[in-house]
Amino acid sequence: MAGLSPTAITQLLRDWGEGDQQALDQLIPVVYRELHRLADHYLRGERPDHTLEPTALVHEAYLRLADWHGVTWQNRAHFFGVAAQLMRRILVDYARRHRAAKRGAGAPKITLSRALGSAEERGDEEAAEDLVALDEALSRLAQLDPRQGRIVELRYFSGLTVEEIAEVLGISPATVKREWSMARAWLSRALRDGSRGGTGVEQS
Amino acid sequence: MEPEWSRVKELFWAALERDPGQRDAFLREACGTDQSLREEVESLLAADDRPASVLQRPPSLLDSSRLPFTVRPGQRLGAYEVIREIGHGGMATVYLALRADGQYRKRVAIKLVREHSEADEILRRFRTERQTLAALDHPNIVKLLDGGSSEEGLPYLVMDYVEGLPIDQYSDSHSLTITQRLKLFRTACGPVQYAHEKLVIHRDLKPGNILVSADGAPKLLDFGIAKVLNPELSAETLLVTRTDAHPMTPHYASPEQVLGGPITPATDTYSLGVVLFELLTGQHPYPLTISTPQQMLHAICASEPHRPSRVVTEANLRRRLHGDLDHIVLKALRKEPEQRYRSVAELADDIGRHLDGLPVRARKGTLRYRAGKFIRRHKTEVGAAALVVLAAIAGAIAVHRSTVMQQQLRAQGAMSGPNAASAEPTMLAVLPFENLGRPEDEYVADGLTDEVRDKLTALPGLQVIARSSSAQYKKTSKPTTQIGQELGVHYLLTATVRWEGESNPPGARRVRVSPEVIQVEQGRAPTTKWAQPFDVEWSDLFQVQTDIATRVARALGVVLGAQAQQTLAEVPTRNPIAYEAFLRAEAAKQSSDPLNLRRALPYYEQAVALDTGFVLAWAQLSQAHSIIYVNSTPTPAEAEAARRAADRALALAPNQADGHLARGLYYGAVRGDHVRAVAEYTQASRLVPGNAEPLFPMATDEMSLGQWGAALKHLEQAERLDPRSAKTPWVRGYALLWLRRYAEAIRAFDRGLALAPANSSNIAGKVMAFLGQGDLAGARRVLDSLPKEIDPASLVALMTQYYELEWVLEDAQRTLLLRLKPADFDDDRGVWGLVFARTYALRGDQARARAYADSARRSFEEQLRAEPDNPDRHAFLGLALAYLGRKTRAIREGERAVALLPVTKDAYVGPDLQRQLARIYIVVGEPDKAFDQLEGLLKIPYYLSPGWLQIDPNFDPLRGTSRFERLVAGQ
Repeated sequence: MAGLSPTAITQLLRDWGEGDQQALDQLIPVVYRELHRLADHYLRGERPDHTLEPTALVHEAYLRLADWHGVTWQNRAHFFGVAAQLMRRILVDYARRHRAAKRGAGAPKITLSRALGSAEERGDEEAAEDLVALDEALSRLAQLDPRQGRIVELRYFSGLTVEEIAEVLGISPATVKREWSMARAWLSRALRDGSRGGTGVEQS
Repeated sequence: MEPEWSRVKELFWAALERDPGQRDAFLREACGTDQSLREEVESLLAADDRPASVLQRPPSLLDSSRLPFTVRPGQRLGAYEVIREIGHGGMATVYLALRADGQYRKRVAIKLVREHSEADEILRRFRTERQTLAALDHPNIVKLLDGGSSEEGLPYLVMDYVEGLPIDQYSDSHSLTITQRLKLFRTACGPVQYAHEKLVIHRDLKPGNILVSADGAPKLLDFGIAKVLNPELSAETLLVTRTDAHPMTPHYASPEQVLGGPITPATDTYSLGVVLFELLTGQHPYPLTISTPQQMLHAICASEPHRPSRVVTEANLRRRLHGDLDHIVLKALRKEPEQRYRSVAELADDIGRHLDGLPVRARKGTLRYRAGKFIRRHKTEVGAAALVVLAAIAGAIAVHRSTVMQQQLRAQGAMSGPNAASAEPTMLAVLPFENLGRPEDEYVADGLTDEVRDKLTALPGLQVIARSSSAQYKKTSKPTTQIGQELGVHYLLTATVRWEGESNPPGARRVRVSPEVIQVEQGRAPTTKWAQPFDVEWSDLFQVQTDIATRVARALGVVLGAQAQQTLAEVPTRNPIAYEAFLRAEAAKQSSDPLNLRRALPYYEQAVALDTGFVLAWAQLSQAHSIIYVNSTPTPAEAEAARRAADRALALAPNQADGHLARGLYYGAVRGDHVRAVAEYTQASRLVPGNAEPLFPMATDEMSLGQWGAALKHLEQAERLDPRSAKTPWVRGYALLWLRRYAEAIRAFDRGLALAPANSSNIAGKVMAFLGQGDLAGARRVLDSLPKEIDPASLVALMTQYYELEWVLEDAQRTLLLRLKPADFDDDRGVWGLVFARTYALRGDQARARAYADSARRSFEEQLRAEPDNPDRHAFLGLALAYLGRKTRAIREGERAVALLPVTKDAYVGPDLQRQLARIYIVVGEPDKAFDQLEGLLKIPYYLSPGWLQIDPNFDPLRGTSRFERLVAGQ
């Protein structure tokens, strides 16, 4: 990994927390690489029941990258803020590749024996469709209301609490809650209406 | 036209705040004629009622098995042509391939490693291992043929191709019966044993590596491959997910693999145990519905597997599994490698014995293991001595975070001028923090309590009641004023703790602590002196501990210098995961029962693996090993582990008491070197002068050294520093009993009873103190007026097995005694049989006495096979043989017991073995030899007295002789 020490990363987080945008530019590739490695690693997990939630991945990336002892929880929130965007990118990227592979060039249907490890294919497909649809809906929401888009990203892809989101965005927790409720309703409607993504996300 | 977004938001929120029934009217009014605005808001409200499920759970990562292949059908790998992918594992993809170099056609399986970065390393390991693996030639082992690297530099391994089903699938699809499954499994053990003999450990046994071909023969895949592909798997790999390592199938991984311990053949035994469990029940031994590596680690290393018979629902199957098969599976699944079957052959053999209807080997070990050998040995070891050892250990294990900071702060306090020196120290008690979260997360509240208390204890100007005194108020319903009065303090620190633990994603693992300092005074309502809630991330926990301690100190008017503030901020470890592991260990420990300690071990190991400078964890790890050594099967490995960890703690922090305490326990308990033990405790005590903890174990070692004066002094000192501790008074009582200071002993036991009314040892001690004064009526009065908290059955069991006091019991109690089962004696048939033999012998029922003695003999002989040098087992066996009339052997056993632990080696335990030898001489009719022993005993500290001898019917055969008269006359 490109050599940035935990202390250096912590410093970047602090600088960025104080408004230094260049610090963010330096931070992003490191975090992205780390998340990617972690995600990749988990994706190779042998058993399907051991997929790890991305929020947990973000947390691990954080533990690995930052010198947690020198970090205040505000720094931490900022880190998770960055990570949320990146995690979204990674996940959606995986989902798209997954779909592509499914549909791709007449790949032979393989009978995977449990002996050598396989995944529950159907569940994956649905999850991939869901995720791509959500990503698209979220992009539309972000055009309409950037702040709501950001809140969804932080909450959904990074697992931040309401208080942490409030810290990252510099707004009150009450506002976060209100915006989230609206964003959730809007996205739910969009996903239900949306014919894009193929499979409907009809809920019962 | 699109409605205006800000307006939509405003109305949406406003409507949400209203009752659903009123929303319609509200929107009608608010939107007026703007139909599209109203529809927009209404549809959002409808969507709000039914949020999309994708938004209700965090996204889960997708499996990558559909990602584009790295090798396409038709591609060549060396001399092989790839036909198709047949499988996909952790770090490799497996292809069916054909050897097509013109010589012959042969189907092979090729395992292609996908990871580029490690290619060179893997190839190097492959070359190292190649000879060994190629030498494996067994009909049930799939042969490794070749290895190489692809054009892209990816390493691959070539092996025979086998068509077959994994053993579990095969068993299910062929509807095999339990017996058939056992036979199949036993066959699969053969090649594993064969490989072990060739010094190859599989390391990755799982159903997928045990294929059953169409003819029903099991074929084992991937022998030794795990070593080539994946040489290490450690706690760190799993916890922090080092991306350059590759976790192995955790379902079948053993604790030592997960913790990075040494891999031995027992590792394969464990994995086979998991496979067998699954074959028999269709389920995994642990509920692996877990999503974090920590939970995975926890399940494998710390949670006890269920019995196979418990997890199945069908009654016939349950009956079939109950008993032998439960025992066999659990023995294979022991956390400690040395507790498992000694070899895979033994496992297979036990299955064979079960199939043949013979008794299985697993049962013996299981019983002993589960019975809590520790408790058994303690209750039976060497009379009262055992209890003191137990207490010493319990004391040492409850060691506080006693650090050099106390010393520094006290020194500073003494120097900070007349103010600090003259002020009366404020007395504070830190009551156990209340856990508001799930019961299983109790350890967080407990850990926090201890840390905050230790920090406060270190402050000059503040006197804090020790843990052992305040721990009794856990979940108390007593009013605070009363607690304050009982502890003699004016201030109480209480807190509630809510820890939102593993159920939440790591990003939301918060700890909420609401501490409160309450001022209590007689006759006045308690008042809150200070209170402040904290709500932090787990990783900020240390900060909270410091903050609470600091603010409590300030609230109580304690002046904190810069030095004090700095030391208050010191933390035991800088690694939050290591700290969590440590807290879990402390919680798993609970008591000094080896079973609990064994559960705690992996956590301590995890803690020190994650932070090698974690002094306290090293110290506690050492103590756990020492106690397991003493109270379970003593093995050199356990002793070595205890020593190593203690040395480590001391090397890291020579001026911290923890390492000295650990080494003291190691010397005293493991090595029996009480001199060095006392030296260590003395050092520890010097480092933490205000702390009672080192004094208690120090005193018990001093008792063993015969330094009674020093022992009493230290016990008294400990009682002053820790006045509510229940263990100190009764240990002091026993010291006084040995010194024949009976009246003082009775007072000590009464004090012990006041603090712990349910502690039967105080009753037994009191009874003995009266007997020592020749006062049988007094002893019986004690038994007639038992505190209601005392359980009569356990008291009777305790008195008889520890102290041979059958003769003191009154009729009703003796009837109760003869109704007890071995289970009441901790499943020790030996002790149970011996107690019954003695009781029947007292009644003159020689036939029954012999029958029980014989049953005791067999049990003790068996126990001695496991522990040949256990002095009390030899003494017990001797007495059993004496009742059986086997004089020569009886004497030999009794003398061996005394030789193993003479009074010169242990002034506390030794006399008791000597008394048992005297009993043996009496029963076999060697009165003169008995006198020799007894005369010696009356000259040294021990509870026997002339008065006792006069009333104890066990000495009847000696009466009427001139030697006896001289003895009871005190000459």
